[in-house]
Amino acid sequence: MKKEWQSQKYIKYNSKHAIKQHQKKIRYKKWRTQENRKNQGKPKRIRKIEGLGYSRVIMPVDFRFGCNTIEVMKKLYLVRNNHKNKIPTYIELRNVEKIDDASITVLLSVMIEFVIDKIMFNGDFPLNQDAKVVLIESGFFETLYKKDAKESIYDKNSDFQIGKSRIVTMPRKSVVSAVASQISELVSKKLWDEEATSKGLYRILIELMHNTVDHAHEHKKAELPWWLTVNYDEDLKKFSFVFLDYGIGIFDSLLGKEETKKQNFLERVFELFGNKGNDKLLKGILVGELHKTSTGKINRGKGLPGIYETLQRNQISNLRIISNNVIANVSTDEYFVSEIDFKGTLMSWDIDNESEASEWIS
Amino acid sequence: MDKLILKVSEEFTKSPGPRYVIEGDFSGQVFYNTLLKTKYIEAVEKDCKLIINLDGTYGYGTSFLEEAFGGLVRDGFENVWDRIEIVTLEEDYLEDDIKKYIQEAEVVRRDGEK
Repeated sequence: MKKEWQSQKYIKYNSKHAIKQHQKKIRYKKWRTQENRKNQGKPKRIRKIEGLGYSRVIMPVDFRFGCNTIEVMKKLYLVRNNHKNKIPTYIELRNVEKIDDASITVLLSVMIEFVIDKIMFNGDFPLNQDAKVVLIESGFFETLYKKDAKESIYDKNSDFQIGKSRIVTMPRKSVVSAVASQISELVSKKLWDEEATSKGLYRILIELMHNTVDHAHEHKKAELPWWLTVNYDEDLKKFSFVFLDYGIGIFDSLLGKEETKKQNFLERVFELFGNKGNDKLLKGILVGELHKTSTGKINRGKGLPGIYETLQRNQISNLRIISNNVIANVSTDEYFVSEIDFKGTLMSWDIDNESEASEWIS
Repeated sequence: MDKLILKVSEEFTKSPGPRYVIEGDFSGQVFYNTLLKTKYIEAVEKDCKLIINLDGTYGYGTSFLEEAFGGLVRDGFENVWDRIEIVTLEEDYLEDDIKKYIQEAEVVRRDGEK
């Protein structure tokens, strides 16, 4: 044995090996020093998350789409971008103190895509107990971690019901009038002592589903799902709704239509509403002004004006719309253009026992 | 003048749906092709009014109504508004809406003929 170890061949090999190992050690030390410098000051928790390869997206303290729209949109844009680039994502909710249905719905709709496309994701709970309870009771996790997510989530035939959680969120890819009627019935029975039903609610649900099926995708119908969240506040006797689709949005859809391209649509719009007038444009669409003058096909495009009419008739209240770069509180007649482009359409509204109702159908 | 009656909630559905059959169940297209057109033709042949009762449903989408009643105009029927009578105690605004859809469809038809 000793002869072997003392052989020239072995000594030569051993020297080379030792040099390589030493160089490796130096490289590792250099890398470790750089890593330690990068991670200096970071808590162990964060080092662990980043060490696992996640990209952290830290949600704001006020995680309410209704009140902190721009900030929430910015964060959700980051998450959607990560999904697009297949980057494992860690959703940090620990700092969240306020949260609403719209944010939960939008977050859920994005995270479902991570599940379906098998992209790694993780997250934490809000440290604030109230926000944590709202999130858990919303049914967010039940829906997100449903078995066979893709098949069951888009299952046209599965029943809608408000179960243990106060909020029910479901995506669909068609106009499901049965869902609209079930929700109408549920709302009517909860809200009005005498037998009454909300025709306005039924109309708005049908119109929104229809808009998604018809216009959300640039080229094909019924390609993208819509999401609906229903929340009942027992104390206020109020139902709050959030409807969401991730299509191309109201304005991109309008600009993409063949008839509007042919009829010099942009020129007419600028004539009516001035340049960069998406906020004014939305108002024009809702009141039916734009459609009459610009498209020529006056038998179409009645969905959004139909929704606006339900608000005018007091059948719904607190109507808010976010689409492309416009944020609108239609109830208070406030429309403004944001710096973030929300690809899709989000609408929220309320119904309470002050809302107009019609006699109950027997 | 005799009358023919069509009650949507009893003869078609209590949950009217979208515009076209490919978009979902109980569409305006199906309503028009299976019920409204047939009854309208019958009303024309008998020279009587077609009474369309819209009550008893959960509500209506605008596209459903436009596809159904605008469809009568698009199929070439004349003076549609004079032939029909809309009964709606639950949503009185629907009568004006439908009249508007018929008038707009007539404008589109006239423009197409020019």
